[in-house]
Formats: sequence, C-alpha cells, structure tokens
Amino acid sequence: MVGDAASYEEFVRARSGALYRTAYGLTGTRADAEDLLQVTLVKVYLSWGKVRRARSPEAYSRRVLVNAFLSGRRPGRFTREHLVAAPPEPRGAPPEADPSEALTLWPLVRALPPRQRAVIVLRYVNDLSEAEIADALGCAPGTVKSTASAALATLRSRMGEPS
Amino acid sequence: MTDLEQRLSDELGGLDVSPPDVDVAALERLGRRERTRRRGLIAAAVAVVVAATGGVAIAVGGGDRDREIAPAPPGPSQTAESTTAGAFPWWHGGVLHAGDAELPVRRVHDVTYAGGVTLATVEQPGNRWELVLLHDGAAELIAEREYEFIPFQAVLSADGSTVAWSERVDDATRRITVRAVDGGEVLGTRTEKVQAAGGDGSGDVWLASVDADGRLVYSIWETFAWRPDSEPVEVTGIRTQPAQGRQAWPGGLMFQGRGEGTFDVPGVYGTIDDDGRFSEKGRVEVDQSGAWSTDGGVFAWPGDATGAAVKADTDRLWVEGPDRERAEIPLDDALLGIVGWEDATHVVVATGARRDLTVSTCDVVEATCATVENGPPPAAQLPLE
Repeated sequence: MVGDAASYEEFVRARSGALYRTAYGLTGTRADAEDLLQVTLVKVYLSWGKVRRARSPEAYSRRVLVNAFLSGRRPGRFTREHLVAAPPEPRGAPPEADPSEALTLWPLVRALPPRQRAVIVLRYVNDLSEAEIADALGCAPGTVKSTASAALATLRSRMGEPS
Repeated sequence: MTDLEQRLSDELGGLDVSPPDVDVAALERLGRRERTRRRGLIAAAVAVVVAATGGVAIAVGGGDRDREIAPAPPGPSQTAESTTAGAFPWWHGGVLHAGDAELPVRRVHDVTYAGGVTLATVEQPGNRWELVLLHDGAAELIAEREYEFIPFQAVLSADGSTVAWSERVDDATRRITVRAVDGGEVLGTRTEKVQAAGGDGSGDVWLASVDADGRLVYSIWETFAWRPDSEPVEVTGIRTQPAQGRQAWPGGLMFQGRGEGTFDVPGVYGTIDDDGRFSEKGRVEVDQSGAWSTDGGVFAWPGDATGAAVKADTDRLWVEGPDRERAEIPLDDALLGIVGWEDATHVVVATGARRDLTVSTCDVVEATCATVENGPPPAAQLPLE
C-alpha cells in the first residue's frame, strides 16, 4: 500500500472523532451520527486526491458532512456494512447514557430546521467562526449571521422568551 | 453575548460523545465498491442515450461524474465462472471501445488502462492526432495536434485519477500538463528546454509516471520529480532509468533494466522523498512487462512456469508486491497479456491466441478468474503487457 492510502487512514484516525461530534450535534442520535460519519468518510475516500490537496482537509470533510446532512438523503446505500469494529451491545445490556440528557437546550436545538441547526451546532459545538461556518455551508458569512439570528429567535420563542 | 448564547456555548460546547471505533479497511472497501457502482451506472445511462439517438458517445471537455445518481438495484452476484464486460479498452473495425464509450479512429497509436480509465493516443483522418480519455461511457478529447514525431507522450496514474502529457512547442521546448481526469482541473503546467538530437528522442522529455496527487516523474537525461505547486527536484539514489507507464510503481518509481554497475538490478521499486531522495522498498521479478495495481500493492506480470523473469513464452499470470507474496493465478488458457487493473485487487487479462482471444477478470486475493461475457470479438486488439 502506498502513501496515498496511508494518509487517508491517518486522516480518518485523527479527524473522525471531531467529525463524529459534529455529526452527533447535527443528527442528535448515535445511530444517525454513525451513518452520517460513514457516508462522509466514504465520500472523502472517493475524492481523497482532491481532499488532501485542499487547504484544510478537515474543513473540506466538514463541508462534505454538512452537505450530506442538509441534502436529507438517508445514507441507506452505505449502511449494508457497518464501520464500527466492535459488535453491537447484546440485548438486555443497560443502555449507554445519552450525553445530551443533561442539556436542557438540546431538545430545542434538535427541533430547529436543519440549516439553522447546522449553524448553531457549528458555532457552539465546534466553536467555528462565521467564515468557517460559511465555508462549511457553502454560503456567504452574511447568510450565516442572518441564519444564526433566526435560529436564536426560534429558540427564544420556543423557550417563551421575548425576541 | 446574550444569556441564550452563553447557555448554548456552555451546554453545547461541553457535549461529550465518545466516537465509534472506525474500521478504515471497511471504509476503503465501501469506497471502492461505490466507485465501481457509479461508473457502471453512468456508463449504463450513456448507453441508453446512445441507443436512443443512434449516435456515438463523445463528450469533449469534461465529464459530469458529480451528479446525483439513483441507487442501483441489486444485480446478480459475480461468480468465478463469468462476469459482465467492464470498462477495459479494445479496438476493432476502426472503433476504439472502452466500456460503453466508442470512438471512431483511423489508427490506434498507444493505449493505457488503469482504474477504469483509458488513455489513448489515436490518429484521425487528415494527419490529426488526438489524445483522448475514455471513462464513464464517454470519450473526452484533451489535446490534438497535426502529425509530427512523437506528437504526445502521456501517462495515466495507476488509479486512473490523474493524467500528464508533454507536447512539442518548438524544436527546443516542450510543455508538460498535469490534470485531474474527473472534472478536468489542470493541476499544473510547465515548459522544459530540451536538446533533442538525432530524431530518436534522445535528450527529449520522457514522462515516467504521475501519481494520484499529480506528482510527475520525468527524465531529461536526469530524472526529476515535480509536484505542480513547486519546482522539480532531481531524483537521487537511483541506479537505472525509471520504468514508464504501467510498470512505474504508484508510490514512487521502479528501476527498468540494468544500470551500468555490476550489482544494479531491475525491478527495484521505492519512494521518492520531497528532496528527491530515492528509498528502496522492494523488488519484483519483472521490470519491462506487467502492471501495478491501482494502489501499488500488487504487481501482475506474465511469467514462465518457474516464475522466472523471461520475456518470451510467458503464458502464465504471476503476482507479487508489498501486499502479496509471489503467487501464480491459475488461468484456463495461455496468458496473452495483461490489459490493466480495474481496482486494487482485480486485474483484466487476455488469454488464448491473437485473433482468438478471451478476456477475464482475475481476483488476485481469491486467485480466481472469471471470463467476461459479451466481451470483445475474438479478433479485437487490446493493450497487452
């Protein structure tokens, strides 16, 4: 195996955790986040020559992930095999605690329209700047600002706060 | 920052999720399968258009491989006995074929096949020479010239993703272009001054190989490695000329032929560092026939019954490389030659006799071969190593 494949593997090992965190923020469940991560990493594999030449392979991959999420396509065609190495939990095992249970705002964020949710997740989960969010969403920074404003207004409204 | 923004920052910023274990090999397997599926679907779609119009599928100036494609219905599984025709090239009756792509030609000059992509230099009526890519069911013209000595010299990366070629600007100048196969993005161009003398190519630019990143290995007396975003570096530590085309190791280069030293041996392959230093990684038995797999893991070559490196009466298929110990792949008939690699583990071969050939796809992991059904006519010509 030559360097190209090795560097893809290195990239996956180094960045899949961060991408999974974004995927979890966007989808809200472990299963959907794993599917979204798998779709993203297969797409990255298919375009690896382009990805590794990108100024930031991580930003490129994040854009792929967000696009896959926003496109709304279910990743069914990639789910015939699962990329998790460990076998699933046996029936009857105690469910793993949901890390978002303690987050009181979480249900409201999950209920946001996808694009607003993406802006909120990229801003507050990933701590990205407006320019970086614009790059991930493929839009202008001004659009990010207006979408974030709309998202915050939606949250306030659903929390019963005045806008 | 408002109270709401502060709460979002505190709560979402502390989101702690443990990532799943990722099986990279499974991802790569899914990627290869998806790539093959996309190519098959696009080829099928083009075939429908061609059938409807009665025309010949020739798209000039870039494909459209990024469009969304509906998932394919599950097809019959491939057996060890037969498989359907792939994208490999063949020509017969004045037409060059590659999968569902068809290109009428006056004469075929040179053809390379790698990773589902065909690169060909062809002659057309009116002394016109064309450099064409055939992939995804269409032929794409990437350069053309009036006839001259060596109108193009071109190489295709082992995975079929990148192409590079040199063209004559004038007697003393050559232009080199490196571009992506998909989408046509030009990764870089440069001109080289040459002192080509005697009309035999001496002193001219000779392209050895290009890799998936666009790094080109070429020679003008000395050997250089060039990444399109930087200046070329001279390759040091090599003892013979680099092998060209499908014999070039995708991870760097491979020696071709014996050098001037007593202990120089052919078939040595290795990496090239950014400063141009060559580092040996291994050696294969044959240096002037055969082909590397798309990822550089396996070299397939025609050999005799003992596996010895001979260049005549080689009618058996052997494989070896970084990912594979030397082994013979059993064939039903005598090997005519290697057409090229479909992917990292499947190599297309022709068996039988010229004008009575059969094409098969061999899985080098399973060491099994499947005859291609509805393949080219027995008298077709294929690019054989």
